[in-house]
Amino acid sequence: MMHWRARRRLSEYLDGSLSERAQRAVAIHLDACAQCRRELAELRATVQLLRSLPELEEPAFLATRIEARIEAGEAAPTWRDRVRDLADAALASNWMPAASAVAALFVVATALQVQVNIQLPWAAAPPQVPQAPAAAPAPFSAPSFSPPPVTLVSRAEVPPGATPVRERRRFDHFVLQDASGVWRACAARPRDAECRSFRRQLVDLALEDPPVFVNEVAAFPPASQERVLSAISMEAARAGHAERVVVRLRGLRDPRVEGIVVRLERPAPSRE
Amino acid sequence: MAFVTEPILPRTGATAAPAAADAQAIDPDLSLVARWRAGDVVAFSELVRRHQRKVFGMLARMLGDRDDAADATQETFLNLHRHGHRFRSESRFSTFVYRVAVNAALNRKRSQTRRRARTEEFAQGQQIGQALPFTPRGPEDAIGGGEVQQRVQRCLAALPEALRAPVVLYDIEGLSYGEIAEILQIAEGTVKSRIHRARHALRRELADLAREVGAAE
Repeated sequence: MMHWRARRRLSEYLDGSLSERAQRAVAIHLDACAQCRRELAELRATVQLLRSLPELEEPAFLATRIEARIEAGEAAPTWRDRVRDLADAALASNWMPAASAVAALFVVATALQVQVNIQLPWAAAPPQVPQAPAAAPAPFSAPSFSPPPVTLVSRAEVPPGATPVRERRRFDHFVLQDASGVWRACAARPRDAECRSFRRQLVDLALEDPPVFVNEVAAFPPASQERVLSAISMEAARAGHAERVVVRLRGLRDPRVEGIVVRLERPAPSRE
Repeated sequence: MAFVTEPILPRTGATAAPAAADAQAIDPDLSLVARWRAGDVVAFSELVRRHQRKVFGMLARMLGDRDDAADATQETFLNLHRHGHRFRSESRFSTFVYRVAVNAALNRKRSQTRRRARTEEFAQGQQIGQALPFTPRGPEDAIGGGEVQQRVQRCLAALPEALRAPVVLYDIEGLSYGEIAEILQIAEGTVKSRIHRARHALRRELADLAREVGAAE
């Protein structure tokens, strides 16, 4: 096994989570490489330091305080929660007209609230009406209809010949387990904060650990590699790291790098 | 071939990684969850008492401050009460609790960042040497512990958020890769890669301590 490959597997080797074959290959490399042996020993000691941190005790009366806040109605579902529950239930039951109606209701309600908030400064403060103490809320606000159960499994778990898993865009990141799945979900909603963070992580990875980055990119389906690299290229340019990424990648002796670098250097499209 | 037979680093107090199908059979919280869903308030209190220490400990390591962790723990259980019906029994209840707790920690961090920005803005308008209304405390004041533990906590706090959560959940809380992937809503391969990067970053920062620990063995 090559040195860089063994080195990036040391952490998993330590946990015993590699396959038997990979575990053996790393062990063989360790036998011959003093640098990796030293690094493994330091990693082992670091992990021991982490695991030696003591369990922290919670402050006294924490549970009592939580119960008091629940009794005071602080955990009651808001109207936003209720609308969201209805929308979720409608989507899960594939009742799209209902989902659309609920979404429209949500938009209108939000707009109305914004309007109310704007008008409030001109209005007189409402009189304080003494209220009876709020009763403990029911723990669940069940929607008025029950959706059929939806079982989400990873692609790898679908037995051959079984009914194909129906993918829902909003559930992609549950259904798919690998990075390409995350990407597919992100391709559908590139402005999502999580997806922006995902792109930033890929740029960080390219800077910190180029071999792992190349492997991650190579794992994407060929059809989506172009879009992935284009998004990473834009993110790197935005962060001012584009040149450094290319330099780090060119430093690798990996035949896959050239194809990646060429696509990273291509001018970014006008739209994500 | 000295390393082939070398024992793997044992994990004390580690949660066994359950197969998804077995999760329901071995989850000790399910009967309480069922009672809570039926409207039993006492069952929820019991769940709080059962999980509060783990949640508080994890949040204290994530946030680096006991007071913040106590507030975030309260938020966690209030959110859990509010959104508990979203829990599906396909995974362990404790995994769901951790997920709500991680979200509470992230929300708290975001509001801290906004608060700090406001404080810095205020400080710019003050004369040099004048006391600030809010002085963020370092983890050494905030959590306590021995000198070594304080330093480990400081290095942990210096990690980027994306790397800190996986390493806290794996090495300190003893969760499995699969559970962490579910909690953080990322792929299992990404969890492994982030743990790897976090450990290497910590190794670089704690190299002298690590050598002492290694030599003591």
